[in-house]
Order: sequence, then C-alpha cells, then structure tokens
Amino acid sequence: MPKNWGIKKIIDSLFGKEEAACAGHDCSKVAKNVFLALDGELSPEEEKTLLADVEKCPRCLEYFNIEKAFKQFLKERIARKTIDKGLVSSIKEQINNIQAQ
Amino acid sequence: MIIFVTMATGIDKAQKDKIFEEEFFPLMDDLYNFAYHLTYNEEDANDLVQDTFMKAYRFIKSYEQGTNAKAWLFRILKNGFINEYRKKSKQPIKADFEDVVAYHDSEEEKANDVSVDFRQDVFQGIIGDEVTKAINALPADFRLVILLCDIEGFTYEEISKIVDIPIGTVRSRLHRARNLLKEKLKEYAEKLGYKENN
Ligand SMILES: [Zn+2]
Repeated sequence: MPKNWGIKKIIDSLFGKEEAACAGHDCSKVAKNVFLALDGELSPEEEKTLLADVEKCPRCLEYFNIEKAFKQFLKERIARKTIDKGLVSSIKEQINNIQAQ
Repeated sequence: MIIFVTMATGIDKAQKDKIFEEEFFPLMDDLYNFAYHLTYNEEDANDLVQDTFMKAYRFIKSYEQGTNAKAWLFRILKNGFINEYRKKSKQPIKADFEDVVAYHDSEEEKANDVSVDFRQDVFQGIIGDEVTKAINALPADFRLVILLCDIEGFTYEEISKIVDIPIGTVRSRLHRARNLLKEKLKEYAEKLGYKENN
C-alpha cells in the first residue's frame, strides 16, 4: 500500500464506487461484516469467509485492523470496578431479612 | 425427554436462597461495574445495585432458573437506571432520529463513518478516566449499547432483550454510538497533538 495513504483516504476509497471491486469483492460489504465479526456475531463459516476476504485485500485488512484496535482500546482503558464488600453483606442481609418475614 | 424449566412460582426459601447464592450473588461485581459506568458515580451505582437485588427478589417468579441470570439482572438494573435518569436528567435519553432513517443499510452510514486510527501513539496518552468521561457524555441509549457490547461482551441478541430493542436497532445504534465516541476521543487526542493523517 502506498505510504501516503491516510486513514481517511483508505475509507474514502473503500466506499468509492470506482474502487469497489478491488479484490474481486465489494469492499463496503466486507466492511459491514467487519463489525459483526469483531462483535462475535458471525457464524464460524461466515467468519472464515470474511477473514479470507480481509486477507486478500489491503484496504479491508487496514479497515479490519483499525476497528479491532478501537475495540481493544476501549476494553483496555475501561477499568473494571468492584463492589464494596460492605454493600455486598448489606444486600445479602436485606435479602435474608425479607425472606425471614 | 423431559425438560425441566423450574418456574419460580411458589418456590420455598431454600430454593430462593439457592438461586441467589448460586446465580445472582456471583454477578454483583458485574452489576456494579455496569452501574458505575452508567452513572459515573459510586453512590448512584450502589443504589442501583441494591435496588436491582430487591427487585430481583420481588420479581423472582418471572425468572426461569438456569437461564441467563446475567441478562435478566442487567435488564432490571437498566430499567432502574432509565427511570431514575428520566427523573433527574434533562439530557436526551434517546436519539430519536435514528429510527427515522433506515440508517444501517444506507450509503450515508459509510459516508459518515468516523475514521480514527487508535493504534497511533497519541492514543496511548488517553487515560481510562477520559474514556469513561467520553462514554458518559453520550446520550444514555448510546452509552448502554457500548457498555453492554464492548465492555460486558453481551451478544446482540442479549442486548436486544436487555434494552428492549430489535437486533437491527442494536446494530445501528452501536454503529452510531461508536462513531460518536470516536469523535469525542479524537477531540481528546487532538489536544494531545493528534493530527489526522491525510
Ligand atoms: Zn476489499
């Protein structure tokens, strides 16, 4: 891929009509499935097809990697919070108290 | 073959204890994490979790033992959050326009895609608090789907049940929510020196 290919340009060309059939597939259709694949919503069969598509097309591969990086970024940055131990026992106590009535 | 679906009708205390001990209590951290990121406030999150367990107790008859306890409890928590949110907040819950356009399949969707490369070094400088703040600044409906999908890892089908929207709407709402979030995070990154690589 040429070095001066910015993300915007990649995306533009991804959906530009004249470039749509670059790797013998419709890049915009592949892009749609990229989200579903990253969200775990494709069947193993569909996922296999998508990955094959992505591998043979630099634009789709770049798009896939960008979206994957975004998901990872969110997961890494959002620290999981844990509940206060005092609240845990208080909730358990309240539940037990209602049940005792 | 007999399939046992134990409806919790008229279940005794021992059975209730068992459901709470085995299925509900282990999810307290997950519920708190969800509540915290929805409210961005420890006290409100505590109240929401407590309220969720009280309601779970009250509505336990509608819970089918052995089914998806996490989705069931998350749904209760989400309803509690939305009710409180409506009372307290003037912020819009819903981006009504999303239902007007068949957004998902339109060409427009792609044209409006926000393209930000999070692999760039500048994004390493964005800390978790800023990401949480950016999520918190989204309308509640968008915040919900991002948290449920990207943070909690629910499937679209589970999200559809928790939030009460069709699966197609889950998909389009997620798409929009992510674009909005990328836009906000890009603004942070620009302060740190991020320039779009054109
Ligand atoms: Zn392609």
